[in-house]
Amino acid sequence: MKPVILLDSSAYFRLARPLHPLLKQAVEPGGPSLATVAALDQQCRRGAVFAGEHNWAALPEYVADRARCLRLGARERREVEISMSYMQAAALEQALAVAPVDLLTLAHAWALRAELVSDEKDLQTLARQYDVALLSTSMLLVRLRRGGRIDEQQLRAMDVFWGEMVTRRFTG
Amino acid sequence: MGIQRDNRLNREIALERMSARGLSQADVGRQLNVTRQTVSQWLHGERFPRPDKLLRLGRLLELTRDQLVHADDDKSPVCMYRRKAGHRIPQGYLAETQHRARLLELLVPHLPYDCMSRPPTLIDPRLDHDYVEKAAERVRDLMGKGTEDPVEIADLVGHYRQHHAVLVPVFWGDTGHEHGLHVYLPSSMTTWVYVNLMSSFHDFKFWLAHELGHVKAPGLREAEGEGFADAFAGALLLPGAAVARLDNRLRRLTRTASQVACLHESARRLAISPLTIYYRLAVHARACGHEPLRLDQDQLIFRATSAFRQKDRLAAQDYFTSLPPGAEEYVATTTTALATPFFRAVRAHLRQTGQGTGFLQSVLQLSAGDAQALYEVLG
Repeated sequence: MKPVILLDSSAYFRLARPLHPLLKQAVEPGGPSLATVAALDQQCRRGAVFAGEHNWAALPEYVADRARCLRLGARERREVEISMSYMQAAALEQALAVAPVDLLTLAHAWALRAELVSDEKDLQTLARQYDVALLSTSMLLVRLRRGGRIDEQQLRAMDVFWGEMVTRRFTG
Repeated sequence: MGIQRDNRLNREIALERMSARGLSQADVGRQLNVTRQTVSQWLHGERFPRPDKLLRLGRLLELTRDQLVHADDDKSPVCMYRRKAGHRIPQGYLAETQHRARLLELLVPHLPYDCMSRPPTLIDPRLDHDYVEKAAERVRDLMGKGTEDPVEIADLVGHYRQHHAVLVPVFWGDTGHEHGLHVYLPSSMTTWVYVNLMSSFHDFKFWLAHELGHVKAPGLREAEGEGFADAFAGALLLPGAAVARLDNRLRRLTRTASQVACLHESARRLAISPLTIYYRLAVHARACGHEPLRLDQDQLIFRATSAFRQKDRLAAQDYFTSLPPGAEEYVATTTTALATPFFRAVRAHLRQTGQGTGFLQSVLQLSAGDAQALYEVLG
């Protein structure tokens, strides 16, 4: 299987709209491509519970972007299954707030020796315990910029977009 | 806040797998970059492997965590599910629910309850007809309800608070296995009741009454707990005296169709399912030693219940101007209508800890997109 960098669900929701199409393309020339797990796609396809602008993930162009991201062999599937059981128990014992779909992403990252993109504190804690290499979304953006996948303008646009989100979140 | 568990390796199965693979303790140590002595200490329960070593040991021996580890934890949350008949609980759901329950423990310090005192539960609850009738009657008295007065949803939700119970409103659709969930946390004696707003109004109301039964009798588990909660809900929504009067009235009618029509009218007035009333009549007859009324000829009672259900609305339709609501409306409306401290506690927790959308995804079983929308309201 070609090397991948896995995105957790939050990272996907941060990046997939401003950088569409996002997945299956090399981060840098000859480098790994970005991927998400199939369970995230299934979740997105089910549609949203709340009305609002976040419902874009079920649109056909995003479904197509996520399609067939990862194809695992039988041995890899078994490794994911085994590692998932350990990570789930660790998250439970330590009361770490990691979503089931992100635990599965972490299990894939461990089984595939892939890097994981996440800004979630608890998922990062768990990833460190299992020696999974981590990237924040901003570190990934830097790599995408260096690799020529995005230009300066896109980088700035995302910076402004996130700045507004942070402002909105913390000032109500 | 983590939890302390007395974890130890399942020595028998670990040794069996090592033997089957021809691995000595030294071989295992070499593959995991630890000494033979460390492996020996793991197997004798003197030490427990760190997470990465444990996983690598599991991979080496091809054992899942449940197979490799014995975990003793007498403070485990108690989780009970309500699902429709015939629906199976999907694989992984039980583990996810245990995890969800653990995360709810993080919210306890943010509840507006006196968690140093015990909630006022029943002293010696038991699944005994007279006892259940009395317990339900006492609650109806506290609600200020006369024998024939219907119990409203507002009456029920008002009663949850004094039992340190928290209603958690969710949109779990109509998928059967996600009809509802009840979590009791022994360490804080708090109860968390997930109520599915996409249930029909009458199911929703019965579920609230049923759950109140569990809340009042947290020591009753499994079939006894379910039996008690069902009986309590029936008696709370339709007290014994009212059942007796209705039974008399129905027995004076000669045709089954007229009896069903009369029962249907009571169901509409009390806003409970005709089937709930029918089962209450059967319970009453058994308690009095009478022959129960038979309204199931030609499926009459079941057809009446189906007709009643067809006119039923979703609980969510009572709360929101349109479906689906936005995340902000969801929080504001359910906080008021269900008098729940849940979202206030979540907000306080997120602000204090900086945990992200993963918390909302896990606790409310939300998709990442929905969790993001909710996080913008609560974070």
